[in-house]
Amino acid sequence: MKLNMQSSLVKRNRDNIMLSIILMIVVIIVSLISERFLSYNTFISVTRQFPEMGLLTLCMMITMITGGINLSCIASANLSGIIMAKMMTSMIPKGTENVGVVILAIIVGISISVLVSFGNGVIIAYLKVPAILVTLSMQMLISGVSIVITKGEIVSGFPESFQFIGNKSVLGIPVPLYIFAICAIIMYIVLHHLPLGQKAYMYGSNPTATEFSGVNVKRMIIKVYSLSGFFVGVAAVILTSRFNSAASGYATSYLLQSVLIAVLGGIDPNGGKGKISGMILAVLLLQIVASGLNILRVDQFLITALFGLILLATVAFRLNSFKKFFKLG
Amino acid sequence: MMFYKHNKSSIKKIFQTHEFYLMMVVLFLVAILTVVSGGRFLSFGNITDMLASAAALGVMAIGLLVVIISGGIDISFMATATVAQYLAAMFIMSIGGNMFVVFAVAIMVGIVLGLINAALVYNLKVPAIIITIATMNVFYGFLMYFTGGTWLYGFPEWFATKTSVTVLVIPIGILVFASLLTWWILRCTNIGRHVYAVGDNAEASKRVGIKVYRTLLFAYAYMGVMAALGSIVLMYVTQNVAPNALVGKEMEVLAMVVLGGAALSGGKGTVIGTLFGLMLVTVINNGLVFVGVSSYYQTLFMGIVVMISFCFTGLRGRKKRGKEIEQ
Repeated sequence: MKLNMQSSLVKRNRDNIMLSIILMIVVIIVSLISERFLSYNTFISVTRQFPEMGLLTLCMMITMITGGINLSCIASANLSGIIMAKMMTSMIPKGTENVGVVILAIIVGISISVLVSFGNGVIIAYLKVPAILVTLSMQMLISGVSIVITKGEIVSGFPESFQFIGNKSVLGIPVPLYIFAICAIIMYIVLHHLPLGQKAYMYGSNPTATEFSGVNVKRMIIKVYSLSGFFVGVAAVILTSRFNSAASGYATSYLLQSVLIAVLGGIDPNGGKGKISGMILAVLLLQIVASGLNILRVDQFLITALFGLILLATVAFRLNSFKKFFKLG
Repeated sequence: MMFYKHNKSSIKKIFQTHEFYLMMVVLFLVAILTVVSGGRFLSFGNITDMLASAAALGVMAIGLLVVIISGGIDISFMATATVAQYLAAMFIMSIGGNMFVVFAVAIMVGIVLGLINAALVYNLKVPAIIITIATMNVFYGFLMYFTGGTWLYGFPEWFATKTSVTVLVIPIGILVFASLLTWWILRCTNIGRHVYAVGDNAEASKRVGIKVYRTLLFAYAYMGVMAALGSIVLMYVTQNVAPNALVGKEMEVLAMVVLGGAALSGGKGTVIGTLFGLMLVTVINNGLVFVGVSSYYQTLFMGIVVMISFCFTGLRGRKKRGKEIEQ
């Protein structure tokens, strides 16, 4: 038993070590091929996209730890973005500033995402419908609402103070990175220092045992999904600000990428496993690979295919290191 | 559990099945739409239109049903269909052939991609949804990379000639053929019963001596075949191949199958249920246009219907579980 514990500790670290090594190899290879890679511009472009991807992965991660998944995140981020955009464009005349309204819009935007995910949580907890189905149909429903509101059009034109969030830097570091850091710290505290995180890990590794051990599973699931919605809302603020517009079909490719990053970062899709450090390494790795491939002018679709292959390779590699467990089966 | 439930063919049992409820909902909707549209909804023209346009998605839904019964899921089938469609179209445009060759090429592509999915799902021990999301991107990404996303049209004459008869007979014929074949396989063959058994309890079926790997290979390859069939039907109806037309409609098809009473946990689901699910989705989509609802509301409506039906299934499942515990 003791031996088992030790080896599992090594394995958990092995995941992060493996990711760090791959990360270094990728950086070295790309910077050898292209001199332009190791520059401030690359740093900025990676750190610009890194926070929004990271936030969406946080939202995916916390639900995956409980053995669920949140496929409605992109649709809900778009809805939040649209509502924020509508509020700001209708209440603030073009060219003027009104920080109060911007803050109000941000609060409303985030609460809409929280509300959507709260709905997911309630249905999953009380009706016991699989999370995939609930969040999938929620995605349809929410993007339906978005289409009805926008009539398929793009809403754009925000005040400077809102654009500041996604596009400006403070002390040489883009603002979204600060926001992501705060959210990652919140997530870390929730996962490792609050009962909610412990219950989530427990439920993910054994739902029945957790239910019988007296944990209020329903309340836990609703809280987990609401938190997931909070991250989506924050991501929506950053996305809307960075694009300076909002529409119902934005950022759909991020859905797969956030699942990929979560799995790459060592989060078990069956639940019960996953650390923030691994996830951050995975986001960084993927962003660097993506911007490296962009600098090398690799086709966008080839990058998509490569992401798929990376996901499969990660899963296969991880299986290999756990092989003795599966040899029984 | 559901096996003997169906064999007990007392009328009471039929009233309790999911398919019966679904049929009632479909009939109710059709009745309302017929009244609202003054009978035009049930005109011969509209019915055949609906059938022809729904046939391709229906064929794919039946394929997906088999995978879902086996306890898995396949998100990559639209990518599979697109690849199969594209390769078949390229084949007949450069080498030529006949109706049989188009289907043969597409089906072979479908089988190969399906086998890849099954091998990965079985050997990597990761939820099928993760694997197939990955393979969807691999298939679709490579297709778009190598073809540059160009549309194909201008097929040979034997494929391009459409009469008002063939444009109905080919889609509907293939849907009927696929339904009957799948119904027969699931009900009357060993491999079909194995699919149910593996989906219900993979570990138990392994101990009874069922070859789980072979069953999964069959299920995913069958999904590939059905995706290929559906894609060729679409290619015939639209007379072009647009690589970006299909990917993104996976959820609509998945909704049909789940509406039809298949459980994502596996081991449960019928062809008839899936056909009713197909009808429901088609009637709603077509009916909204008929009643004059703006197409902006279409996604919202579908979302509401799918959400309600999923919740309903969840509630029914919970009641059943409750009864079992009481007993």
